Amino acid sequence: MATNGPSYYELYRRSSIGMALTDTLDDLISERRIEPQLAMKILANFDRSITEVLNEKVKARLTFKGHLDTYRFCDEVWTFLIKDVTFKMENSSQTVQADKVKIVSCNSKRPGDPQ
Amino acid sequence: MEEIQYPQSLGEVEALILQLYQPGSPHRVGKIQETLQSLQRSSDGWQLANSLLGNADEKVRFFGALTFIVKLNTDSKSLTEEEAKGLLQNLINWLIQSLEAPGGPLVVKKLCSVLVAYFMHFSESWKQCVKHIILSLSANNGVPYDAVESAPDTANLMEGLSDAKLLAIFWFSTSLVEEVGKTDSASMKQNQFHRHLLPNIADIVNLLQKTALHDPPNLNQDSKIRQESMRCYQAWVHYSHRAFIDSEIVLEPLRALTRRAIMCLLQDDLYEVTIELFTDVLANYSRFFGEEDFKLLYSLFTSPWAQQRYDRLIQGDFDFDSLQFGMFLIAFGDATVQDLVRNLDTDSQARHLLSSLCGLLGATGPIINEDKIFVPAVEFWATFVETMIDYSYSEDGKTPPWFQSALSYLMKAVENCWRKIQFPPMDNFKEWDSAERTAFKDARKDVGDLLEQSYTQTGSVIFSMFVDLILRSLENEAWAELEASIYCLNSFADCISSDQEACDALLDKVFGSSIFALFTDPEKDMPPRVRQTFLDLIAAYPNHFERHTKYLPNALDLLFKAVDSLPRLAVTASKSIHSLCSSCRNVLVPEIGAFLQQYSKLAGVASLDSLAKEKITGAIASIIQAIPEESSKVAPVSQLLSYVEEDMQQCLHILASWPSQQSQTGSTMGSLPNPAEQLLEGASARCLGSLRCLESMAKGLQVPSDVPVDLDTSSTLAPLWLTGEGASIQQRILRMIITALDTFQGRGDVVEAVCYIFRAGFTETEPGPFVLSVADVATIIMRFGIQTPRLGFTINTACSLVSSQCVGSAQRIDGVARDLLIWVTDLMLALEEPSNDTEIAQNGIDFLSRLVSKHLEVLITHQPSSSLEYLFMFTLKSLTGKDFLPKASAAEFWAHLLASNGNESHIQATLDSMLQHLGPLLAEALIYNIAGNAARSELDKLSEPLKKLVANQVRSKNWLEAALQGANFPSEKVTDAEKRVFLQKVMSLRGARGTNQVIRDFWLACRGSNFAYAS
Repeated sequence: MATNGPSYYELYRRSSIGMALTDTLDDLISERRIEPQLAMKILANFDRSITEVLNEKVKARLTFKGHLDTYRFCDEVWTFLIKDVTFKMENSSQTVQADKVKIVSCNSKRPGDPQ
Repeated sequence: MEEIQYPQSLGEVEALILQLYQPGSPHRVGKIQETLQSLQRSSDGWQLANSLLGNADEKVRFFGALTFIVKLNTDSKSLTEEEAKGLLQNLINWLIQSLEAPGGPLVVKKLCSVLVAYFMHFSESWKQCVKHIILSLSANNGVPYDAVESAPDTANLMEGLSDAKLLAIFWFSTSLVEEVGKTDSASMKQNQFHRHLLPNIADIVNLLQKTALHDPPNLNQDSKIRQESMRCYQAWVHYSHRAFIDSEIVLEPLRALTRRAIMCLLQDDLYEVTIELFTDVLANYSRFFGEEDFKLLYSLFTSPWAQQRYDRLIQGDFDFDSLQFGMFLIAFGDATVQDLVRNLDTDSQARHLLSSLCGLLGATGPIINEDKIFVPAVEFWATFVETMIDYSYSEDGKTPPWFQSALSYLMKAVENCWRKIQFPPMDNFKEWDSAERTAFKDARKDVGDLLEQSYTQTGSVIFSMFVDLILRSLENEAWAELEASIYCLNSFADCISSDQEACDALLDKVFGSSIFALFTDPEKDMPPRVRQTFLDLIAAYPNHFERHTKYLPNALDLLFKAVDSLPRLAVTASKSIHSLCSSCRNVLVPEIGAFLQQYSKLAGVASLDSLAKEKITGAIASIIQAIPEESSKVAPVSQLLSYVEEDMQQCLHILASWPSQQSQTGSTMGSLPNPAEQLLEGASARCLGSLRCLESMAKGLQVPSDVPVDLDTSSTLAPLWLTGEGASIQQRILRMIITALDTFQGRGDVVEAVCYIFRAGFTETEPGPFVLSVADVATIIMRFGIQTPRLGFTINTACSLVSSQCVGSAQRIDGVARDLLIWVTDLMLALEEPSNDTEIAQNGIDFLSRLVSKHLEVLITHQPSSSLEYLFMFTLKSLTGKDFLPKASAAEFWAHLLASNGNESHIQATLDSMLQHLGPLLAEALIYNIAGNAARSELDKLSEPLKKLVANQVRSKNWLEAALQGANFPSEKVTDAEKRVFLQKVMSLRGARGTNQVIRDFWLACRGSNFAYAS
């Protein structure tokens, strides 16, 4: 199905894998091996693929507990600031502690969808 | 290698094309392609395309059509308006000729693509392209586009068109809308494709109404035509979604056809394409359907046709078409889930649909291996629960009228899931491939998630259901059911806190039943998986055992028996022991002797898994930690340590049986014969196991983070562990560590394990057996040289050491920090360049950063001064290098240094004087990066030192100005004026957050517009 560009969030571009991809695309453009238009398409594909892969393929789970410090819902984006967070990974007794965690969550339905 | 001659005649070109399809070396094929592509792009390309299309060979004609596409994409701007019009007529004529030519549809389809490519470049002058194609095909000649205005209606034009021509029209119409749909938003706006496509809608609707969407259905028509017609409708409906997203354009005429399309589901030859269309649209663009469409779909699902298909699926027919029906049902459920929830009380159709969706979870056949509808159905039920949660919260505390009905359906769905996630008989399961087995376990996790979600709505009711199922299956000794029930109960471990009392009472029923007796009965022939899941259950609810200590003996007895007698379950059981002992440590203190005795038996078992040993050692250590009197801990710690020492002794014993010159280092292992290698591997594994047991002990002895801290009590414990009776314990620990390092100095995993033991002590605020003297730890760390494996991790451990402050020891560690700095400096000197080992460089710079935070004086008074200068230059070299990690660490180091304040005036003065010298160099390194040399992802990191420089150094403006104007400025794309503006902006922001964006913009300006494709 032809669903392109605007249907997917660009927020994963700021993830480490997204930034690594952008750096690589920058290098390829610098070396004149690709054009910026292709880089744009690759990033658009990345937006789609990472959303789909995280949704469909990632089965690992973790649970976390902490104190909800601030929350807001603005422009269809939920933001939670949580303090003293303990993460518990699946299949591991190890926990990870963090003083402060920010969770930004967007509607999984793509913009323009009715629900 | 044979070279390709540039063709001089049409015949030679044709021969070259035909050679492409002959087997040949990849190099030759590449060369042919290169030659042909240069011909295609040449100024004779248009003529070449025409000539090739006149050839009798289909492959040559295909290449001719391809040449038109290449020319359109590269050279269309060179055509005048008249030439473009002529080209269009010419292309349509080629299409008509190709339809009459013998051969397959390959060339015709390619020519349809050529016409689409033409539209992409000349859409403004070819808006009614579909009608123009129909008109030309009906006239059997490429008529001028102007003739479209006076032409009769499309429906009339279509009369008498051959099947081949109809097919070509559909291929063109489908390809047209698919290609336009693929264009990006900017191009869509620029070329106004939506606006140019809209005039074709009426023609498309006419086409469809004459074919697949004819009312009544024209079953005499060739099914190929009807299928292509339906595919065309599918493509246009998908496009309408894009048009709606981009410009909120609703393609009403297409919506008017939905009811006719629904009826196509009942026609066998159109079923597959139609159901795919409806499933996609329901899942992604259900707004496309109107109320009447939904009514019709509802009634369709209650029709005998749907019932028949549903029954087939439920009875285990998972063929493609049957599965498609299931996906269609789920997509409809997803699209209407809000209505389903709210109207459940009043709408019988909603109830019917929900029953069907519930039934999908109970299809015949094992999930994954056969039943492919189960996982999508579980996802639907997760959406259903989410919707219930949404509506429940919007009801202001009142129970909504639909709630009880929804709950009963949910419980039914959960029960179906429970049945389906039961493991098949082991022999069957083993026959599945590994992907299926993994997918089966993933499906169980999905069900676990659904249960967790459902708990928010059902409360303890669902918990109670699984408790009853456990008790029932216990009674019947139905192992698969018992396993699934326990698995489901495990899923609630993280969510029952709100309803703890009720759940505790229910768990009492389980643990108070005959369950422990059953699991310890050697006569029972239960599959190991059931035992494993039960052990998981014990580990999942440690707090329950803490509150109900009467079950602890049974649980621990079972777990230790499992470790002892069931090697496959030893690790699971030991993890459960660890979990229970850690949670119930205070209750178990009186039993410490029994635990040590139990472990003494286990520790002697040679086959006991090292991970199991590690876990049990940690478990016992956590009980020791809970002993209130510090002095009473010495004896049990000593005893536990002796078991670990025994393992280490055995390791040495193994090694002693081999010639010492061979066993000294890991590096000689490669030259040993095989049995010796195996023996050495065994010895090193034992050594590693001992070290990991030490680490586990150290972690078990850590004070839990949730205990209260008594601020009034001054620590008097230091002598016990450092100089008192506990000191010998520390000495024994150190001896073991040194022995391990001496024996296996070439092994990175041994070095790493030692570092982990040290780290476990660093986090403690009170003295303890593993809170070793910093001097001892530093002495061991400083044994490592540039050749030591995992040296980066070791330096990182030194970082943790200088950052940790042991309250009990109450000592400044400046002396140790000074020694460690000398060690790090030597390593960096030996390294020479940061790029020679980025891990060491990064960790070395991190160490300097820690000194800045905690021991600034140690750093800035480092002697000799040339050594200190080397360190600063090393960080600047890292900053201008290409490697990300040292660069990030260097940026952080400078940000720390620039922001630091010496507590004493002489320290501050030294620091200031150093920065006056280093400031210009730092400014130059930062500008070198910001002016385009840094990677985009490094900019935020590099912004930090620049912000601190601007905020803290009065001469920063001069330094930055000099760097911007200096010879090393790497970009020629920015003018002096732009540099000035940049500097002005950075200075006026005074280190505020906005600096990051200013830096990003300047980086972009220095790199050029080619890099503006991403924000």
